[in-house]
Amino acid sequence: MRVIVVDDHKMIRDGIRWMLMNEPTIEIVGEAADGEAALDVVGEMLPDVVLMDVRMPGTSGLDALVSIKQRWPNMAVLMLTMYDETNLVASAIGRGASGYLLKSAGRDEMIRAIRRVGAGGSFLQGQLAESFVRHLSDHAGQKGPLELSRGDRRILELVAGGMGNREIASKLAIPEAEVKAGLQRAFKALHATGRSEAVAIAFRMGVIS
Amino acid sequence: MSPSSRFKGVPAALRTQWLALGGFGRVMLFGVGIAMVVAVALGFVVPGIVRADLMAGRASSIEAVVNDLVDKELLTSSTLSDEELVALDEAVRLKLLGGDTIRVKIWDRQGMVIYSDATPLIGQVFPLSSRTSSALGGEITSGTMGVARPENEYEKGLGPLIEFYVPVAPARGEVMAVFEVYERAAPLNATVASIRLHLMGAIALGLLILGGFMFALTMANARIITERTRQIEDLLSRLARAHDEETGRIVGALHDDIGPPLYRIYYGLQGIRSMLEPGDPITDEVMRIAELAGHVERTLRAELSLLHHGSAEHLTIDELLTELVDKANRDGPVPVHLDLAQHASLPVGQRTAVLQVVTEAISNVRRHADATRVSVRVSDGNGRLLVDIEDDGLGVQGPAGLGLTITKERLEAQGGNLTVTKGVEGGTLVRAWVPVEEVPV
Repeated sequence: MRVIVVDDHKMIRDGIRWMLMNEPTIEIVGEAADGEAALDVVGEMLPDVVLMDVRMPGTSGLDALVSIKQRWPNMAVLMLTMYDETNLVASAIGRGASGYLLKSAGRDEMIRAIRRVGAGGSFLQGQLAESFVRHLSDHAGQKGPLELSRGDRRILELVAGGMGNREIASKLAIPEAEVKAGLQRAFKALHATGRSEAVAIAFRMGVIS
Repeated sequence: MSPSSRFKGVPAALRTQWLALGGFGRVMLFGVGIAMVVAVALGFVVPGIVRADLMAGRASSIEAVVNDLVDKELLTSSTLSDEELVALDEAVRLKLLGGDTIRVKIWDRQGMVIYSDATPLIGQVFPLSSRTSSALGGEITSGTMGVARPENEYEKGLGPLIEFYVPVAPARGEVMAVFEVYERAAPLNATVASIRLHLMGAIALGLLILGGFMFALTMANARIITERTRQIEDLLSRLARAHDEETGRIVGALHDDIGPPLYRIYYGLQGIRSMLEPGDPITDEVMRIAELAGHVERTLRAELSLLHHGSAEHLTIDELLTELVDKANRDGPVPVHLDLAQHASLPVGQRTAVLQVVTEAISNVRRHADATRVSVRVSDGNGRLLVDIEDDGLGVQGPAGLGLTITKERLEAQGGNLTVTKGVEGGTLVRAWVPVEEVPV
């Protein structure tokens, strides 16, 4: 099984390469440090599985996932992340990911996941599967964080940059009330109760970078 | 009574001003209010006092005239001959009558008019008035004339009058008669009205000036309060932003600086383990270290989760546990039930330790217990907060894992501890406790 590892931290790429080195059925054929570089490596190596971090600077994992699935619809992408947020799982699956794996997964579980998605199947880590189904049931028909408008995402990015509502309104040349309304929509979509929480969730989910 | 109920119905701006005055300012304002009430009251009382003083002065003047008549032996007894009457009449007309003094009567002790410039009254007897009786007792009295009395028949139609009663007594003798003098009230009333007018004008001017100063002070104070409020809001806004930035910095540091090396260690150990033979002592040690790295990773994620949702510093243990259990129920396959009883509050160190033990215990149940449910019970017992985490799974499987061992050490540092035993349903019961009093560490 030919695999490409995409993560912005070289230490993690090295760790995964080392962990899977002794596994004869898996070969790491390439690495990339962000979503944009991943597209080049994937295009060059055409691997069986892309093992990709969700949150990366520049083009996030979720955005790169969309691009990969547009160009290579049959390419298996296994998302890798530190967080067990069901919102994030839902976002990744909704964009075409074949599986979702926590970074805390052990060697055996990672090998099992790569084999499964590489063979055309799907994989959700045990503890995530049930909560994901519950999430789908609970949020049926609701607007998700990835459906946030470009404007609302921009407002969130400026909040993350430390700006107040008035400054954001001035920068975007919109009324302050519109900034507040945008933030309210973002809070609702991200299930956040405040600015810092919304920014943190948005970062984690790759909604903003 | 709470401040909000005490100020119910009071506009917010006034309430803010009142609170901003402080204790000393409120006493000052109360003093100014009392001074204003006293000033207005004096405006009504002082003219009355002036009127009484003017009448007392006039009574003294009349008394001097009466004493002069007695000294000149024009009024030696209550029985006067015709010649004595003529002489007395001349003296009275010369010294008293005229101007505003319009009538004089002299009464004997039996109520007979023994002299009057209105001659028909002489020799007539009338019931003694209270003022006449008081004067017969030696007291000088005065007041507004009562026109309804029969002896005042001749004074009707002369307008408001004032009457003075002066006792007539020879030297060291008893009062033998009473001298009654009627004067027009109009001049005195006009004088008192003029004094009242000027006095009230002065008070009104004083209050106007005081009110002006008060208004100016209040406005200046309001500007100061508004400016301070704006500064406080600005500071709070900056503080909130700084807090957000600091939280973001810490999250970033934990995520980017600690996370990757930790995963590198974790993955590296797993890779090494795959290259070693089973049963090798090094394999066992590598597995233990990998388990330790896994525990650190879970702690890191729990801390990051706290930073995202609010830190232990700002939330009570009930709020932290509720949030933790909610998240566990959202994300995990094993339902968790939380049962909170009333208990004393915990300092932040104990809160963090308790949160960690519950996090670790739930994580263990998910990974090892094959349980269908977990219950978390919080209770208060003998100065300790007890936390029981019990599941219906496979029960205790060997000694406590590394995670619980580390958690136990953290509890001990806070003056608490934990035990792991078999639960009543056959699963595992983790019982942790911490003292409710703060323990120095």
